[in-house]
Formats: sequence, structure tokens, C-alpha cells
Amino acid sequence: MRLGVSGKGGMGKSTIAAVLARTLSRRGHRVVAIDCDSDPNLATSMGMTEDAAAGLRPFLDQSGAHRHLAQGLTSGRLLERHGLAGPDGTILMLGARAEKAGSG
Amino acid sequence: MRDFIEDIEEDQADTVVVADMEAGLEHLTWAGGTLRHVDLLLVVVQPTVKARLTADRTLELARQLGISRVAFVGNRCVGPDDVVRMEEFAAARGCDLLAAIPEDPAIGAADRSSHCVLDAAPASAAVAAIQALAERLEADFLST
Repeated sequence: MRLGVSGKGGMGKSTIAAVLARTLSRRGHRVVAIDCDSDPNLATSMGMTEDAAAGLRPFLDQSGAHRHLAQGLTSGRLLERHGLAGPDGTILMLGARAEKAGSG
Repeated sequence: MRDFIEDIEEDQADTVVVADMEAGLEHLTWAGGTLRHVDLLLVVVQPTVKARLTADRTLELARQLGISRVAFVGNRCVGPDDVVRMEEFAAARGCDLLAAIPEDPAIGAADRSSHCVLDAAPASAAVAAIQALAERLEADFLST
């Protein structure tokens, strides 16, 4: 199942996504939680420390004009490379992080 | 992102992907729609006019993209009137309201202390409502 959590800023998306992901993992599912926000906070919403969250590396290639997948990598390889172990056995991924003004 | 979400389903069909999207509508528009390949788009909405306007625009874009299923999650509901308003809002758009999460001071308290509310207040009403949502999703999408 692929689930997207959307909404206006400040609606509580990350809190809901975090509790959902951890609950589904506790219930025995393999859960990959992806923070797709360029101002990411899903890891901290899930209860990871700032230091642990800093270990997340964006899996989208940000070198070009658009964020895109690095060439030729399957999702499985990306998970191995960029997935971080989160609380309750979840796997955390970071889509992109705005690192310089004007980057897309 | 879109390719990843598409690929992970083909690659690892037993995996549950929870994608916490960017605030607003950008993810539905750029690069052909990051979310095109989700099985369910949960739109979190509070019982305010501003939130509902965004929810309406999100729903419109999601339908244009052909996202198979869109449902609403009401958050910060104060009392039964808010729940009724959220249910009516969803029903008027032909969508389900999958959860009505109550206003709960445990959420703000957990945020301020940098904890997940699941650890800080596991017995809180908001956590109970989100856990019920997880069970509902499990029943609808993950039962074999």
C-alpha cells in the first residue's frame, strides 16, 4: 500500500504520518516513511533526535534543475543506501532538503 | 519521487509506504505529480474555511491526476459539531472521512518537548484516533 498524506501547512500532516507509520510497523508491517517536504520534520515527529535525523541523506539527486532519482537505481538499492532505521522498526527516507536558495 | 513511489510497489509489494507530502499543492503539480502512484491520498483538514479551500483544490488536482482514492482526515476537531461538519464536508465531495482526530493538548506538548506523541502520551485521545485510523487502513488495504 502506498499512502500519501497531504494538506495545508500546519494541519498536522507530519504528526499523523508519524503515528500512522509507527503504528502500522508495530502491527507487523514493513513500513517505509518518506519525508517529501523540502523543510523536513517527519523524523523528529517520529521521535528521533535531531542528531539521528541529521544522518538522513536525500535520495533525490539535487544537482540538476529538478529533483530526480539518480540514474539506474531501483527503490531497493535506494532504501539500502538512504534508508535510516527509525522507531518501532520503521525505515525513514528523506526526499529532498532545500540546501540553497533557488534550488529546485 | 514519483518514480520511486511507482517502483517500490513493483519491487516490494509487501511494503507500506507512508509519504508525508510537502505542505500545499506543489507535490500534485510538479514533475507530473509526485503522488500519481499512491493508492490512497489522505487529505488532512481542520474544521476551518481556509483548510477546506485547500482541501477542495487538492481534491480537484488529485482527480485530474487520476489518483485512485482520496479520503479526508479531520484533525483538531472540537466536539461533535466539528465532527459532523467534517463528515458533511467529505460526503458532499463523495469521499470518506476516515478519522476525526480530536483537539488534544498532548500533541502540542509533545511537539514542544521534541517527542513523538506516541511516546509522550500513548493513551491520549489523538493517539487513539490515529491508531484507529491505522487499523481501518489495515482492514481496507492490507488484509489478505
